[in-house]
Amino acid sequence: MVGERRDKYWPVIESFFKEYGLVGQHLDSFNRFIREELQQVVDSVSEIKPKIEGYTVALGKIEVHPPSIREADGSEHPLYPNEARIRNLTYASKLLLECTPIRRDGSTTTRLETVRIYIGDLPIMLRSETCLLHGMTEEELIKHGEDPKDPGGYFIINGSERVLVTQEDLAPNRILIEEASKSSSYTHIAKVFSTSRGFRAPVTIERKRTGELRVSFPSVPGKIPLAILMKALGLESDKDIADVISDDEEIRNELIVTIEQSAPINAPRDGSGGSTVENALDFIGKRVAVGQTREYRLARAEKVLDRYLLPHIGTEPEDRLQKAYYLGQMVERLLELVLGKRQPDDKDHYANKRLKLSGDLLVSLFRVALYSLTRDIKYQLERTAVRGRKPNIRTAVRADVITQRLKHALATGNWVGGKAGVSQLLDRTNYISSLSHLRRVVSPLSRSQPHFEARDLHSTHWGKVCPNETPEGPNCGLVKNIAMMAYISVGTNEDAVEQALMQADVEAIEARQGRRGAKWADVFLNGRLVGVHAAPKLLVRAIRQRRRAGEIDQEVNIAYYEDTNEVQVNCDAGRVRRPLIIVENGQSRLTDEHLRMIEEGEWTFNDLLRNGIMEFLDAEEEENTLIAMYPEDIRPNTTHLEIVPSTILGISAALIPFPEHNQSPRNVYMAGMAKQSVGVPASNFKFRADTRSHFFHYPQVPLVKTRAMDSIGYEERPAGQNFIVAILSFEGYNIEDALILNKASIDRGLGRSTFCRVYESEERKYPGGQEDRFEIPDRSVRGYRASESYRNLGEDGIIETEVEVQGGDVLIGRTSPPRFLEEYSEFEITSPNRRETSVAVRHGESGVVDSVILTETIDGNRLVKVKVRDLRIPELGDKYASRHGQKGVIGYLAPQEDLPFTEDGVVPDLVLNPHAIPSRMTIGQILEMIAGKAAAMEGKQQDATPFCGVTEEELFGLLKKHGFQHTGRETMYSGVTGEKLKTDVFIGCVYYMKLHHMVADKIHARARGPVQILTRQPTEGRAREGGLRFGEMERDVLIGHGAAILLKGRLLDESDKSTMLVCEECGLIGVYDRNKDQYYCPICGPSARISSVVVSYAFKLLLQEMMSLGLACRLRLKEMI
Amino acid sequence: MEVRIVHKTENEVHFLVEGINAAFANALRRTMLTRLPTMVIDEVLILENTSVMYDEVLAHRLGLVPLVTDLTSYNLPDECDCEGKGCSLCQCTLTLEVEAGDEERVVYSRDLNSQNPKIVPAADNIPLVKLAPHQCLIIEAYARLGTGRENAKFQPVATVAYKNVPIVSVDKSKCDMCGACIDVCPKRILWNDGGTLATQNTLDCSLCEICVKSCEVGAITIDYKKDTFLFKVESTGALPPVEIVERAAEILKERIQIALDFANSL
Amino acid sequence: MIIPVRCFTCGKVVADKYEEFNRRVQHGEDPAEVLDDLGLKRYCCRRMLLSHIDIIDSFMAFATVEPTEGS
Repeated sequence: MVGERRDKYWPVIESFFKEYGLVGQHLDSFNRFIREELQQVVDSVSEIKPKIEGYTVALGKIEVHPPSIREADGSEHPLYPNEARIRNLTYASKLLLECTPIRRDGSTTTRLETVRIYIGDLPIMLRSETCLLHGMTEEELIKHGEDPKDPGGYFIINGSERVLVTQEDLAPNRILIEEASKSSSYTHIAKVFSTSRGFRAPVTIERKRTGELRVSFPSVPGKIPLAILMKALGLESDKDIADVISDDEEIRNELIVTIEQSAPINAPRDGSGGSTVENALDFIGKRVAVGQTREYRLARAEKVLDRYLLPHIGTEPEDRLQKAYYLGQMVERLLELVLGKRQPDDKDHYANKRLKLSGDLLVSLFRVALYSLTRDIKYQLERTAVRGRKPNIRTAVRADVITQRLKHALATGNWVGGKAGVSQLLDRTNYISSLSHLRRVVSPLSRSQPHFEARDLHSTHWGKVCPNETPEGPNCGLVKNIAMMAYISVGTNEDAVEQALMQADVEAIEARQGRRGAKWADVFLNGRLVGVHAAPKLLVRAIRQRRRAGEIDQEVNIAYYEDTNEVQVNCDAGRVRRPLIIVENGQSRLTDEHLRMIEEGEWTFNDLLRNGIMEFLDAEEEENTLIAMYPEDIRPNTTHLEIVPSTILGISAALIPFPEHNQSPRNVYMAGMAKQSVGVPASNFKFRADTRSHFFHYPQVPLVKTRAMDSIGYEERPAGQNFIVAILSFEGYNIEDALILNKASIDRGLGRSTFCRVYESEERKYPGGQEDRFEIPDRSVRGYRASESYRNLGEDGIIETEVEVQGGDVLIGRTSPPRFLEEYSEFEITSPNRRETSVAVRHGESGVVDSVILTETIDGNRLVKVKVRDLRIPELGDKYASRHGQKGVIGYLAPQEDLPFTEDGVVPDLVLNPHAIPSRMTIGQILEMIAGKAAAMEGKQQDATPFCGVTEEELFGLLKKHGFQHTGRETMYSGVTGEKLKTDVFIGCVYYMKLHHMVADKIHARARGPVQILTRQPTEGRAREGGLRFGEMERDVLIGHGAAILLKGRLLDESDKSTMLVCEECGLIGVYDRNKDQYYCPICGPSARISSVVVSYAFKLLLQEMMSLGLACRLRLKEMI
Repeated sequence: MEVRIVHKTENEVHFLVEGINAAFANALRRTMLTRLPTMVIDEVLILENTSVMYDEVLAHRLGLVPLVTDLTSYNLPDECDCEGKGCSLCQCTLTLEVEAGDEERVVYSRDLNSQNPKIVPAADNIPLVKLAPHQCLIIEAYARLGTGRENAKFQPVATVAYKNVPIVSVDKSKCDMCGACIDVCPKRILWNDGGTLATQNTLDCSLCEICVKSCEVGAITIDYKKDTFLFKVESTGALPPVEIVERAAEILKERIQIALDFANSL
Repeated sequence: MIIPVRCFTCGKVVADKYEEFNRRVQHGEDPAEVLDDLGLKRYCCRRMLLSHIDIIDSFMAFATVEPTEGS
């Protein structure tokens, strides 16, 4: 059987997931942040220097404690995630920093006692090494109220689960050359985003039409001629500059214009007028420090060059030559492009992308937070010093600074650098939606511009980014999801790799004075030019061999570009990599023996890596490979072998059976809808308090499965049921994608789910000793509702469980102190009127009170959460979808006796319209129907994994074996007439998902109801019990029909009809004085004739607003007859 | 009309009916599905439920448990003297009181205690809910008669279906014994009887005509008897299958009589 | 959650057969044969047992523990 062979290596995939988990990238990234990067950030600050004579503070080791919470009463205890969720707490750890005050008295420095100071709380990622759940067994997890299948990888901030969505960015420190558009002022451009320690400094070199080259970089206004910059960096002679760029004559010719530009600053031969370098520096100095002395200008220019030009190479004066060499490299590339010797770089190539994971995002956030803390400490210390007291570091630290900074960014998603939406509320619709959310990647490109290339699927996405899972609409292609086997690098030590390169005979660039020479291949390490090598192919082979032997870190990837003769070595974080089997001399290194060891658990996935059987490749190194899809495709020059090709899909798309038989947009739709299906969100469902959640009563495992489901764990948290589906028209109730469901099936429990909503309320304390109170409000309370709204409340003002409630019923009775103190001083001795601030069931919803949680917030306030559940039996208008992008709403619930039946008595659960198939070409669904039927008869799930599942022939054989037509069709009899149907009906078993869009949540109608205060027109929207808009086009219809009275009725009588007094003399608004029972006009006086006119209230408002602008809008009244 | 029982077990009966048309056969089928009352729990009073299952789910499950029905001693609530309020003539109370000890415990349908020893669950070991240690259930349930028209739980049958009785004929003169039709038939109706095409178990033929399509000559014709039907009736256990058919026939007769009376009165 | 009492499609009681089915399949019997034995001939009833998953067990694991610790 073909299937057996093609997914032979599945055990390897399972061992991969065992090792890395489903959200391993987040966990590893966060662990690295805690273990290394946190300390690095502290080290980069290293010292606080307040403006106090002889007093500094050295920062030492930073420590992260296990997550804990300090209660309002001052007690402290470890915090477990579920407590944080329920009590609206933040799951965070205390950070302790070693601070050593240093005193300098003249020449003596004394280090005072080192103190460990609590500097703030750091939110902790669930299931990371710091998390209390780390390493727990299933039983322990359950004991702490956690779902053992929950992947972790998110944070809990104020009780809500937040994901840091992976950000896709252009790779830093890599030179990108591009051709410019016709309209721009330059012809070609070389760009690099030099990034170091969170500081991003773009450097661009433009080539003008005249051939001159100009450089721009941050903090220098305008663009500087290249040659002048090079001279400022220390390349004094024009020859040096040309040598650094290239030894190719053609390219050197291109430089003439540029070099001539720098002629004015060259030092004259007679020695007068300073050196060339100084002149060049002054040229820059004149731009950055206008109107200053020459000395200051020079110093300033040097500082700018060190700080803002290519900071990734270095920020010290020694690094300037290196920077010149790097610029030379940029220019060479640019000119090669100009001369047609090289192609423009592909921005969308995944080698040019880096993903920023939660760890990286936290580094940049923490850096800013620590900076503001040190600034605050400095300020506090200086303040105490000014008052003449001894500075005390312990009292100068305010832990709030870091805590609030981190918490605020995580709670709102507003990150440093102005990025919004970085942290998102974890999608808990079902298990798949949570997983998919944790594996999401967003691109910072704007949604409003087309960016067609950036949205397109790129060939380098293969195996890294799911080709199907992306939203439709404005975010299409910008929001992506990583593929099953993709793994993101966390970065290793660069120095070790550089050393390894030097050992492999790379000649350092400094040693050659920047002269690279055309014969030598340039060697880059993380985008930085480190040297040249004479035999790049040998170098690449040697490095790969050493990596496979474990001598250098396996995170290192190396690629040689033959056309441009350069070697790219990468070991930085954020590269998407995927594992492949190494093939050597036409022989796969993964033998059946290895496979057996993996299967039997003797070996883990890491053993395969360690033994050089498999390796991770990034997009760059993949360019050097020839990867065989299946073992039989291996040729003599094959370098690698895919494990299983279907792992190019992401989590969501991997659930589709037979996706290779579907039209591709259908798979995209399915990948989107899988995240909306009602299932089992988590096994601790009953102890969770999500605002909205759904729970499916009888979830079933799909009869037609894919192998990926095992690794994902879909079968433990399924979100659908196997429906018996007949493709048939039935009285026309299923046209236009409607579905007909069997009423009897629903009676027996098909498609039932429960919807839960949690309402919460807190007893807040106000300044002035006032407090909220949970109670049954008194009649005298302002805003008192109808007394029956409170009928189910207990004595404590909180509702009892298992009580049926409807829209408007109060769940938590609460009163608050008056908002303004004046309110009760205005009238004589009215008692302080409290306000009614109860929480009631939402309008239009109903249900049963499921549970009441009474707890305490961090401030010691009482907090109540009430969960209301509502049984959702499938009804007309509920949405269902199969796994092939075939969605529809229920159009009719047919009685069982009316539906057609087979001779065995099988009646369809669902009748699908035949028109749903041909234009959409979802052959996968047809196959699923056959496979589902075969699976039920065979007593075994059928494998529909893409490219390696069962074939049609096998399915046909199974059906025939069990006495069915191989076509899947059956003779049926009409349930209405009893006659045999003229034609056979295609009937089978399909996995259908219930989507969370249900009519019960959407149904809306209104007769009378609330109006807006300002315009007195009906409110808008279902939540506000709003009216249904009778819009322009509807108005046109009535005009067209001449239905004037109806039109008036809709737009005036049923909307904001009101009467207005108008003075007939002046045409302005009149007044009625109720005290005197008199009509008068403010202009013409009481003698004027005042008439009452029916107008729209909005019109009256318009008149008054115009009056306020000083316009007199006069109405001329006339008798109607 | 002639009825011949082909196959009969405790809960299932297959019979051939001759001399009726499709409309009548269907009327009988529909009557069995929707008009024949059975007794089923319809109202549940949950006094205590500390299990993980929601009350409404548990109530729904209780409703689906088929009860052995005694049609003679109970009235349909609408036809009862109490006018549907519920009395001992139209209602039977069942109670369920279970508490799990230190072990997990599955609550089965047999744990239901009926007021009337005749009205008991048709199947003993239907798991209703699982109780974790020390969880408990106290439930009072009221069973009543009802018909499948109201809710599918009242249906006395697990399925009722019929098929036309096939006539498979082979024109041997046109057959070249290529064997394609033998291969293709999923029910193995056709076989090679020593060089000639023969038929067997023709009652199994599902009239799919796939054999006709496989043979270009038109050597095989599949037809069916217009007046004979093979019924398959499977009971849920509430009533014996034969009684279901008999009672359904009576109800059908009554209803036809009502229609006739009405027609005659016009 | 727990095995549905009846086959959704045809109404046959399937819940009483689940425990036996599960036991026998776990003992290594062929599911198809067990289903035949139990009298589940139609594919609608067979899928009820085949595709069922007892989620109630994972819920019950929580029933014996207190949901939160601490105060």
